[in-house]
Formats: sequence, structure tokens, C-alpha cells
Amino acid sequence: MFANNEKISLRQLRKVLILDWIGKLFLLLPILLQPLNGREKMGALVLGILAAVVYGAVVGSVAVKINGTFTGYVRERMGKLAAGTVGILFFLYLLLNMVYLAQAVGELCRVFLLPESRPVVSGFMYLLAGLAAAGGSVQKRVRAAECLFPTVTLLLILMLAAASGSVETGHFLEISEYRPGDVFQRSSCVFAAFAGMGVVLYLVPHVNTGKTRGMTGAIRGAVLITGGFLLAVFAVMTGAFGSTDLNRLEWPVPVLMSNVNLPGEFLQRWDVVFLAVLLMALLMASGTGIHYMSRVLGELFPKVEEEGLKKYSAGIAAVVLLISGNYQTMEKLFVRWALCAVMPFLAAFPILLWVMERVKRGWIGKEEKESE
Amino acid sequence: MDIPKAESEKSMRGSRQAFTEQLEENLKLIRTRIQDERLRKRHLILGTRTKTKVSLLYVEDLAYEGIVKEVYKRLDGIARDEVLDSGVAEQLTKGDTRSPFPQYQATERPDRTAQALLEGRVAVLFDHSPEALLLPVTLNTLFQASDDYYRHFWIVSFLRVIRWLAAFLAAFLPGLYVAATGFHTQILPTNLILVMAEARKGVPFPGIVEVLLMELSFELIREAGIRMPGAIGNTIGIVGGLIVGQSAVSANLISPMTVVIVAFTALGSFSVPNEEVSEALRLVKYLILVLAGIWGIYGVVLGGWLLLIHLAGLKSFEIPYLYPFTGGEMNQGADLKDSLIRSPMNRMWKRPVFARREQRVRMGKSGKE
Repeated sequence: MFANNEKISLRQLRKVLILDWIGKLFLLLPILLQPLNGREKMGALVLGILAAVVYGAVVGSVAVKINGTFTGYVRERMGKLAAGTVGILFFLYLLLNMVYLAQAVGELCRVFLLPESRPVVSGFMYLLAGLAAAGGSVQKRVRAAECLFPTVTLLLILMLAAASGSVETGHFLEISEYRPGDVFQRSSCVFAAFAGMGVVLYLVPHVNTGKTRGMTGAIRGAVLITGGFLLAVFAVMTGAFGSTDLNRLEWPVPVLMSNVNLPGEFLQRWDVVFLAVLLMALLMASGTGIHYMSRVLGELFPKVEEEGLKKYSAGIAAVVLLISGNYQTMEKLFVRWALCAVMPFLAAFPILLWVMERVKRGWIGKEEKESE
Repeated sequence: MDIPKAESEKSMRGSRQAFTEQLEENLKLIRTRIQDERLRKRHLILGTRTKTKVSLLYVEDLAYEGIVKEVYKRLDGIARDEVLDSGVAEQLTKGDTRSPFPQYQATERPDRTAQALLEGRVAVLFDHSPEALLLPVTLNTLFQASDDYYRHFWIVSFLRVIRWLAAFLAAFLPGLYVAATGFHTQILPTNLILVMAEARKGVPFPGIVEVLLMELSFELIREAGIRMPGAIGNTIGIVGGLIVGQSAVSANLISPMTVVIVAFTALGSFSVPNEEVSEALRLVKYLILVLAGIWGIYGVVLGGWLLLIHLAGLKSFEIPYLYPFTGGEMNQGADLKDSLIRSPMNRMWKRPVFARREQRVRMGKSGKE
């Protein structure tokens, strides 16, 4: 029978991570890679994805060592101050991420779906939907992700295949320039967009124990599948628009989908269908985001009830949404503060923990040898 | 024994029998189908005034003991002086009382009940109630008809896809129509937009009001049809539908397209094999309709998301309501072979996840696995 232990399997974790990333990265990466040409974009993506795979292995091996909560583990290894600092930094990153997504959804709705609507209202609804998903057990959201995953991925594959019909091979041949320095610099942005994965360390108590060793595999699988989608999207976009035009577009992925033509002319424009699929993935990310925020807060303030923390997290995100202005402002804030300022520290933290574990294991090994 | 014919769960093949209102006769109907000494029954008396006799049936080596005990405990825990029908007990014992989705499977068919018992599920029969309650239940089991196992797997698989599509139409079609015509006309082919615009010429209401009016009229006709005696009820349905629809179109109160949409939604709702799921989807339809009226396709997505989250949170005796679409790897994926698509009978050699792990393999003719 099914165990009622609030644990999720690694397969489920992989699906949650993919849905968490796919919507956000479809919107964010075209902005981060804007200064590059098509060929360079692909290079930066490949490098960034490879770095994320390696980083995933580090996060996975740290996860194995955690018995109990992540905050407890950090407190044990590095002290109370470090545990508090990392918790606050993670919360700050998650908050900015959440508000960025809410603003992005609001702006997407304004540009493509509801021209007369106020983005803040759509963003607010997005947060409410996230709160509805985050409430109750972890398993509830994970089950929703499991049901959503095949639908979202299959529809994305079909729409990408359809969009590839507008590819002109000439666009690939017109690119000759390749600036390794810029490619390397931008690949760090791709990596930063993935590096928020470190927050899964807070999920360790919810992941099926005994199989935690396989967390590396789950993260690697999620990065590779998401990366595969991103590479395919960028290849099709470069082929369809050409490098110059691609860099001029604010929302290249939805625009690409508006160019899809399917035989039979059942629908005139497919971007609305694509956006509906993308919004489903983004809603999943909102539920996950609020849950992560409440987990981090829960470990910092263990006496406060978890359901209450979810409401507080959504409330804080709503307040920041109201004062954050428009999407363009929030985008700059997110890139500058979440990805450039906070993320390097957060990304370095699991690496530091991993190094500490390696050093400690080395010492133990030495002691054992000496005693022999 | 005068055995009635199944009325609400008709089938193309297989038995036509339905349960009677006498508990003893219903028990006999099941006994004749499962002649196994391991078929067990436990009795209860519910309601201090009604003293309703209740039988809990299960196959001893197939059903989980924990589930049997839990069902017994929940039924025994009903502190009420009147329990006149299985529906009362169902509402008093279901896990999430706020959910409109059924967490017990009510069936009037003895063959269906026997099938469920042989899958390791538990059946509860009430005296004076011509239905058995089957549990645990998943959304998938509620989309299965009893003759699904008596017919060719290609046909059944096709019909199951149609049923799920029908459920989607029942819940989402009016919302999608309002979203497409009110907010996103650019997605529709030009010819279709012109036809729709022509049809809506002179209609004084916005799309959402038009659809809501028509849907509510349809609900009235449906309710009137059910409450009226047999022949008159049918007449009300046909005459009401024809006259109200035709008159409303002639009076330019609604467009012909809205009538088509409401008719397709109703057809979708009738094609769902479980009446209670169909009723829950009727409620969901209004939620999605209102959201679509405010936010277009974004509203439809929000409604769909809330529905998914709600269903994902439901459980029936620890089994997720959305199983096997979630957690389908359990039982070596055997339950996925009997979900949206039904595998050939010779490939379905395992019992569903409801059965005890050690008894999941259906035995061959020789009695060997």
C-alpha cells in the first residue's frame, strides 16, 4: 500500500525541478543571453548546463550527508551564524525569484493575453494560485507535478516541432563571429539561473531516505532534460528569426510560437495555447517557490506553524510585488540582486560544505590508517 | 427473486442485473458470482432508530486488513440515529467532506461489485439501498465501465479516451468558448470568427452572461426532467430543450453558437460513466466559466490548476485519487495498463494496487501463477 510518510521519490523530485525551471528559463535566458549571437548563445548554454550538472553532483553529495534538516546540518558544521545567514540569503533569493515570476506572468498576460488588464492583478492571482498549491502536504504538489509533466513536455515538444517549420538554414550560416570571453561570461549567467537548485537541500527531509544518494542523478536528469529543451528552443529561434532579430525581441519564445502554422488552420495563432502550457509550468513553480520559502523560514523559526509560514511567505511576496513597480524594474532587480549578488554566495555554500566533508573524510581516513 | 435491470449503469455486453433493495438478495447476487470460501462479510447495524443492516464484503486473502478495519471503524463510528441510505453513510465517512468529487464508488451492478472484490477492494451494502459502495476509489476507476473488460481492448481504449475527452469538455468547453470569443478572437480562424460574429449579431448580453443563462436554463430542464414521472420527464427534456433553445435564439437572447456549446457540454457531461463525477464537473464548469469571463485563457488555466491541485490532494484510504497517473510506477506499472488505455486481457496478469502485495498475480487455469 501507499505509505503516508510525506516523502517524495527521486523521480518525482526530477519532475518538480524540471517544471520549476522550464517556464522561468524560457523567459529569463533570452534576456541573459541577449548580447550574444546565435552560435555564441548555444556555446554559453552548453557550458552553463555542463557547469550545472557538475554543481548538481556537488549538491547531491552534500544531501547524502544531511541527517535531519539542512539548517541543523550547517549549524553543526559551521555554527549558528552561518546557518542563519545562509537561510536568510536563500529566502531573499526565493523571494526575488517569486516576485520576478509574478511580474513576468503579469507582463506576459498584458502583452499576449489581456492587453487591458493590470499586470499586478495577474501577478497577484499567480501568487494566490501558488499559495493554493503550497498548502497541505508536499505530496499533493508533487502529484500535481507528476500529472502535469507529461502534458507540458509533450505539448512543448509538439509545438517546438511545429515551430521548426519556420526555420531558415540561411540564418545559421550568416553567423561567423565567436567571442570566447563573452561566451564564458554569459555561461556563468546560465549557470546562475540553474544554481538556485541548492535550495533542494532544504527538501532532504522530504525525499525518500535510503535513496537520497541518488539525488545527484535526479538533479542531473532534471538539468539535462531542461537543458535539452533550452538548446532546442534556442536553435529553433535562431533559425527562425536570425541572430539580429532574435536579440531585438523582448519575448522571443512566445513570439516564436505565434509564427507556428499547422495544416488544417484549426487555429490561427498558437501562442495562446503555448502560453497556457507555459503558465501551467509557471504555476507549478509558484507553488514550489512558496513551499521552499516556508521551509527556509520554518527552519529559521521552528516554533511557527508551517501552514502559517506559507501564508506569510505569500504575503511578503505580494507586498514586494506591489512595491516592485513594473516587470522591467523587477527583471533588473532579479538579475542584479538575485543572480549577481546573492547567487554566488549561495552557489559557493554547498561547494564549501562539500570541500569540508572531503577534508573531514580525508582526516578520518588518515586516523583509521594510523590506528591500523 | 425479482431482479431489476441496471438503469443508470447500462452496458453493451455482460449481465443486465442490478441490485434490489433487499440486503439478503443482494448478498446472494454476489455469492453466486464469487463462489470462494474466502469471501467474507461483516455485519453492522447503523442508526439507533433506523437499525439499518449493513454488510461489509471483502475477499479475505485479497483485501488489505488495514483497509477493512478502517472501513469498519469509520462505519461503526457513525453517531446518528438515522441512516436511511448508503449516501448518508458515504457523506459521514468520506475523507475530505468539502470535496464534491466522490470518494466512494456507488454501483448498482452486482458484476461490477464482484469485479471490485476480486481486485482486493471492499464493498459495503445497505439494506433498502439498491447500491453498493466500493472502496478505495481513484478517479481512474470512476472512468471505467463494467463492460470494459468484456470487450476488445482497442474499442475499450478508444471509448476511454472519448470519456476523458468528454470530461474535459464538460468542465472546460464553456470557459474556453467565453475566453476565445471574449478575449482571444485572434486565435480563431478568420472564417470562424466571421460566422460567430454573424451569429451573435443583435444579442444584447456579453458572452459570459449568454452562456451562464443558457447553462442555467439547461440545469432547470434537467432537474425538471428528473423530478417528473417517467414519460413526462423525457418529454420535458426534449420539449424544453427544443422550445427554450429555439425561442431564445429567435428572440435574439442567445446566439445559435452558444446553444451548440451548451449542447456539447451536456453531451460531455452525460458521457462520463460515473454520475457523481459528472455532477462534480458540472460545478467545476461554473468556476472555470466565471474565471474565464474575468481573465480569459489565464482564468481557464487558473481554474484548471486549482482543479488539478484539489484532485492531487484527495486520497481514498491512503491511495492517491489521481493514481495511477501519479505514482504509476507502483505495482510495476501494471495499473497504467488499465487506465487511459486498456491493455489486452492476456497482458493484464496483475491485480491493481488495491490487492495485497502477495496476491497481486492473477492465477492461471491450473491454479499456478
